[in-house]
Amino acid sequence: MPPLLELRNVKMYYGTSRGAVKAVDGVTFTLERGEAMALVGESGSGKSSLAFTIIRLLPRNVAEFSGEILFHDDELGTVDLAKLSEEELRRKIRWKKISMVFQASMNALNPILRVQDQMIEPLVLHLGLSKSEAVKIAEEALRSVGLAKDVLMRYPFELSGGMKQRVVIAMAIMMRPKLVILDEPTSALDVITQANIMNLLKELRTKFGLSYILITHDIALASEIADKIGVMYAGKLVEIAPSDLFFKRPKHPYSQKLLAAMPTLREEKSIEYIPGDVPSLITPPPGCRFHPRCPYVIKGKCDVEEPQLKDVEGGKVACWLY
Amino acid sequence: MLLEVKDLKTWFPVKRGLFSPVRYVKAVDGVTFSLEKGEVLAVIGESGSGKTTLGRTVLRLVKPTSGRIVFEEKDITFVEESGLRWYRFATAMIFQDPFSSLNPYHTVQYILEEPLILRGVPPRERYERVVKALEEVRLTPPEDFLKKYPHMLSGGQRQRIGIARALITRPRFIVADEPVSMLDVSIRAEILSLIRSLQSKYGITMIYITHDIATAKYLADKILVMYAGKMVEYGPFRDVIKEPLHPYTQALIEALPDPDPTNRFRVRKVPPGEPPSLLNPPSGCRFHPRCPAKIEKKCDLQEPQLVEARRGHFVACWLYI
Repeated sequence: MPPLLELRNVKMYYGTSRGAVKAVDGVTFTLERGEAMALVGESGSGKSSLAFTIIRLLPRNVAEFSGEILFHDDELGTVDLAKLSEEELRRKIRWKKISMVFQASMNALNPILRVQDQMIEPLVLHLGLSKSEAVKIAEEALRSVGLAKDVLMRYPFELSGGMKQRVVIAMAIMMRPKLVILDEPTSALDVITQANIMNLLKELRTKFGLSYILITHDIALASEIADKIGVMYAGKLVEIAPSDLFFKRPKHPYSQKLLAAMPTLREEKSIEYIPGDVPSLITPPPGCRFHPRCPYVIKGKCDVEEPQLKDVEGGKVACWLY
Repeated sequence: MLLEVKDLKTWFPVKRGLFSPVRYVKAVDGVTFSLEKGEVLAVIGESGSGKTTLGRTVLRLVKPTSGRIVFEEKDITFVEESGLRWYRFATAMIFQDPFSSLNPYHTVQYILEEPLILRGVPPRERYERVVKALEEVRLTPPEDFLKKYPHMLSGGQRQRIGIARALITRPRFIVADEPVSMLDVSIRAEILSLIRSLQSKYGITMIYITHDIATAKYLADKILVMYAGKMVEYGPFRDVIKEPLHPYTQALIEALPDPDPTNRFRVRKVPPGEPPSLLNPPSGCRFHPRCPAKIEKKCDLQEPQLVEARRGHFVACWLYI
């Protein structure tokens, strides 16, 4: 069986007055059916841009968009999301096949509309369902995220942060998509609420056979759900590996630093930090983009030639050390 | 004892309608702790637990309703603003949001100079101290940063300015309110170790307010856990983490993942629901509606008092009374 999603050399640059921002710069990976992958990286690494690129919500000032985003589906066959028209995306893909929980989206609920109206809007408007059908679907979706159906009649301000986040998740799963992209789904929530939401995401995944792409800067959170970890740095995917391997032996020096910088509660360790800042995506450093901050930099190599992703011990890593 | 806080209460009056009675949001409802010089206390709680109000009240940015705050042997609980000038000079605060706590119209140099101007430091010395402060927070060379405006800096750099501003007056006591929660995990480590090294270098006493126990581990000597305005547990940091007594503290620790690929196969045992409204908190123990160890007809009726369950380790829970 083909994988669910295949990205091949995907690039998305957007234009600014100072030059093109290379937010996604040649990303290649595959996601299997039912697999959960986490994309981790610092702010400005391009991980959110990559998510938006996958569902083709491109910024208005996009300067370059290329590569293939192949989505394999039993019903639709193989489609290249990069080539579909906006109309086709809306009718066939978004909500139905791929949905997204946006960062801080619980605060994006319209405060003057009842939950019901916001939930059924895309169903009625984009997918052409009748209102009663749509309400039935919304009710069912709320039940799967652990909310009573009377939430439909409430306004967002009457709900707590955790409940709002559940509403947003209910919207993402209500059309039974194959893939849900989660962009920092718990970033504004308290720790216990965060744990409850992660429990819910685990449960929904098994129940509906979902695939996830989780975008986060928090590696501990990524380990809560991901079978596979992809590390982004300055618009590039620098390492991709199964979780079991990644947490035991991260290969890329940046991945190693990222793990070492993570404050942990149970494990005794002193935290290290990564010196320097994330580079500009307008004029990224030549060669390996991490070389100015890398402790193992090989002069005359890392600062000149760009390493490509290469198979190393069950994972893939883009680093001259391997 | 540098700081002693006893049964501190900060209630905010809320009036709904013209003739309805005044009700109170009991943001801080009976908090007691003490700090020796150079000690760091972590105040842990979820949003709405009253932790920020506690920090602000101790700094006397908010007037307490009752209780006692004694700083360096002086009772400052109800002292008027005019009598608090010395206290303002002895204390400082590091804010959560490095994006909104720096004035966008001022240069880094002026932001750091301002507290010194207020204290009447002569210009020449001011400049030297600003340069030194920038070096201390590792913004080097300092000359590169003096004329910059906040929007030209990254989040981590701004938070360093926030730390430099708090420390430039050599305060004896600091309240740091979630200083790293808006930053990426990768930058948190650096800012935490910076705060730690400056705190121990100058022997500053500190309250570190956070919802994240993992970051507190790198700073705190003591921990105070708040839930819905009440302190539920208090003691030496290591002891509390090793053996959390209150079911709420246990849940907070259970909820926090460490990076581990086997996490994805387990369900975290955390209580459902969210903290109650402070305007109308549950009767008895405020955690009882969510508590997995609740004792019927006890926890929901009577409020548990704080007891010393282990040496120096206090808890407010019926399981230990």
